[in-house]
Amino acid sequence: MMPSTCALAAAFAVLTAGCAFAEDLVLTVRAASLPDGVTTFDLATIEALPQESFSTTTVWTDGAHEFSGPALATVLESIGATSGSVIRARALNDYVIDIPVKSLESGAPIIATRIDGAPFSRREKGPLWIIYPYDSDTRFQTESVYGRSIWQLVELSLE
Amino acid sequence: MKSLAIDRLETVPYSQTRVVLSLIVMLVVLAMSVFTGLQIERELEHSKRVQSDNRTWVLAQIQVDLQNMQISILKAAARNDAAALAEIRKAYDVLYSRVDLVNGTPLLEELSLRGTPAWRALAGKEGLVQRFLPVIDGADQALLAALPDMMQSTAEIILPVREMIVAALGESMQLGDRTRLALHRTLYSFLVVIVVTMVGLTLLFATIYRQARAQQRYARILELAVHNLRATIESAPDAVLIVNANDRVIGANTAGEVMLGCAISPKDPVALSDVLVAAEDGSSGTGRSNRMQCHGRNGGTVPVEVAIADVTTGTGDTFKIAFLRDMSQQLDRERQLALAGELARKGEEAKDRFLAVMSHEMRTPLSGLLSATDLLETTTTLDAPQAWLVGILKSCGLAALEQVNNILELTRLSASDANDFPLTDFCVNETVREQVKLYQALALDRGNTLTLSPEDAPPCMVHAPLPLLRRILNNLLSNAIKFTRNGAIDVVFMAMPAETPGNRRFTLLIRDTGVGIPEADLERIFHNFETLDSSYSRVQEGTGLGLGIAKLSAEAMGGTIKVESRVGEGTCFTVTFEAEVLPEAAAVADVEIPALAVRRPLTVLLAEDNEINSTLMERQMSRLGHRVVTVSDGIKAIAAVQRQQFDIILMDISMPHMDGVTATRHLIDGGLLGDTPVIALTAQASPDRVQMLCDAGMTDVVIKPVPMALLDELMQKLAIRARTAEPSTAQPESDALFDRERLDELIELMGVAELQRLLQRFRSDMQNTLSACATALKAGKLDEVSKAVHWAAGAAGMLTMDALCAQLRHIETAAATESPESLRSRFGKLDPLRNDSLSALQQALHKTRHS
Repeated sequence: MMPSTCALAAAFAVLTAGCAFAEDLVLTVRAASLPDGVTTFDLATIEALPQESFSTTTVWTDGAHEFSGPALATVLESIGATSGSVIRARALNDYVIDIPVKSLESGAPIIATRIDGAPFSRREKGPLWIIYPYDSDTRFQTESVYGRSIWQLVELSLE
Repeated sequence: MKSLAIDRLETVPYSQTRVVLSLIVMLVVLAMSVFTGLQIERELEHSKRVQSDNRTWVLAQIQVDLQNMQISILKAAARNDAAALAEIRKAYDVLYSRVDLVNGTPLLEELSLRGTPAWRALAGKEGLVQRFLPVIDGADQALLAALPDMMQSTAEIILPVREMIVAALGESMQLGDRTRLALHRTLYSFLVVIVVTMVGLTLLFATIYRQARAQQRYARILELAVHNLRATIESAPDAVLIVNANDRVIGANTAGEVMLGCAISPKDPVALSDVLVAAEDGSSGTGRSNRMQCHGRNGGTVPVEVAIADVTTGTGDTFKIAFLRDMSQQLDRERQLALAGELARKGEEAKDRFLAVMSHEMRTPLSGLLSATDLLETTTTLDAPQAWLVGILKSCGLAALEQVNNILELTRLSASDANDFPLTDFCVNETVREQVKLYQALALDRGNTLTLSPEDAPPCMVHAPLPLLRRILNNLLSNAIKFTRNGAIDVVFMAMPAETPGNRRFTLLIRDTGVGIPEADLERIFHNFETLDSSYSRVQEGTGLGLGIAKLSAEAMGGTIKVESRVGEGTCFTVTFEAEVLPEAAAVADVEIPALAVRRPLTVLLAEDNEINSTLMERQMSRLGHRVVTVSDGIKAIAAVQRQQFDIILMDISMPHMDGVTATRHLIDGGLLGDTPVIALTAQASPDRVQMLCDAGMTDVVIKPVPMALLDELMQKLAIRARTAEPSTAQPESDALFDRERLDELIELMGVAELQRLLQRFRSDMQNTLSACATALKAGKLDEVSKAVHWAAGAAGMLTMDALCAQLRHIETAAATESPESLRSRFGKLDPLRNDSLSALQQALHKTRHS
């Protein structure tokens, strides 16, 4: 049973973004190796990174969809955030999950920015969603993998 | 051990079926396991997916997101600034995405949540989220204005949503329970399958274990059997060689290696032909077992008996097993046996020679003794004591001669078979009749009657060993007479068809009313030298050989002799034998010779070197009326034959200058002999010698010392046969009133006084007979006449009145055909002859008595 994080998710808004559609910063990355210990990405920067793409079904959506975006590992490498064993990912509703660095692969997971070629909004679990190619391998059909598939991603913290 | 191993091994197939059965069970169990395993896999997969994201979490999040929005609205109403509005918008977006998720995800399809009124109030077209959308996306002012309304709407929906979620959670828990139950069931069945599998495995293992144990046991038994077999072969005294298909010895037991003189191994085979060669005597047969020589590698040679067996192994290979038995010792034994046999044979021959020599050495002096006694009795006048002493001398001499003759006879019979006795043609009925006639006097002497029946059996010529038949008759007749006093002896001679074509079966019964033989002794009487320690043997002294000789003679003829007897009532001997019968024509020709024709004086040449024997024989023969010329060797004999014609020649065999055999051959070769019979006189009585003499041209052989009666009879017969062979004068009808010689024999046998008494009786009986005949003639009873005349003729013949006898026989014959008148005239002519004969005989007896 996933522990309920309702209380935590209640009041603290870390990000102070004004508008849902603004071209503002969408992802904050914290890592000890960074000059200020923190950096931010806007959607364009994320989409500028080498893209991965695959089609898969998910337990949350109906039917198979084409997901595309940079690999999580690529995102971390792009800022030289390599030291650390665990990536703590945070969602908009303060849902937090740890992803071991060792479990990262070149193509899985990705930080999906597009579904079926189109960006998706906060109401559609966007704009960033950590997605694994669930259909390609049973090792991606475990509960922990589903748990790491965090949507409305807002922050990564390398520890 | 071998059978035991086989018995045990035969139980293996049963175990195999058990293994197969176990394997089948295992396969079934395995299939079940795989099936159950796949099912579990599917269940697990299912549960993994079902629980991949937690429904509870999703459901709970609906309320969290709703309350987050309520809080943000409350905050905004209180603060009334832009940041608070942004918070409202963020909370709304999160709630929106949550509602979107709940509507789209397959996770919640099993739940009734999406159909509830609370859900429609929240997420339906007219629901809260859709109603707020224009306001949220609208300007800040409008949003601010809507805040009180939004606050109320949110507060109103909080409780129904919570109730909906709790209900959905309950539903979800039930689903989970169901899923777990299914999994539990599957796992349980898997467990059952596992248990079954384990049990199956245990059984299989047990079976395999038992199988292995059994195999081990069989292996041990097999090993033991093989060991025992090997030990048996190893310890066999015979050499056992294993020979491969190329005739090479590839294995041998210890005895075999010793015989071959080297160790044998499959790597160093020895060619069979190198070690085994055919025996030197060439006795190697084509059979599987034969004698050969085994040449060992060490140079030794062993005679062996070889048996070779072909063997086919279970794998289809063929080889041979050769068994070689060392025959050295057996051959030694065989040699020794042959040597012993040879020695025994030589010993037997030496015994025969000794007996032959002894016979000669004993017969010659006995012959002299008896002839001298004869002459002493007949040519000198003896007073009563002297006559008594001479009688003793004579009877003792005769007894000794009988002993010697019997022993020699027995030796001769024992050492020979039927082929040693030359077969001659003779009339068997006539022979029996003659022989019976010879014993008439002797029988009469002891007060016995001796009769032959049927009296007038038709003549029957046979081809058989005559001397043997005579011997049987003589021995049985003398035996019967010896043990019967004042009784009757009947001889019955019968001929019957035999199984062999051309043969007839003859039966001779000699029945007496004598003392008889106890049953316990019946077996023994035929044994040689068997004298019964009973009254039977004490009646008369005897050699105990007579019946043995008769039995051996009968057997030598291929016949049998049996005896039945009752003490005090008599004894009956039955002789049966078969003989080849000659065709009728030959029989008739021979029968015409009167077997007991009236004796006639003969001209005899006697060649004999022993002066005593010669003198005695000459005197005896002269007394019989013969004219005798004596010579002392073969050369003189030939000279005598050249000078003069003889009726018969008596030829001694061993003589100086020229022996009898050579002289006879010269006579034959020189054509001097013609039909003159030559009788060999010899003291050596072996069958070989008799045969040799016959081969040399002798007509017959007489063993010395010569029994004159027998010799005379033989001479008569041979002389007559010789004469009838050539065209000769008609058989002279005897017209002598009586026969001097036979009368002398009778006198010798019975004494003058007894004869005179007999003659007196004949005279009165004859008178009675003639008057009876006259009466019968008147009555016309011709058969009675015939019967009476038959008796009279027999009696006249007995008393040697041959002319009278012949006349009576004529009447007997005529009685069947002629008229009573004619017969009466024949009786009338008979009277003078009767009177003459009787008075002539009376006179002769009288003379003899007073001479």
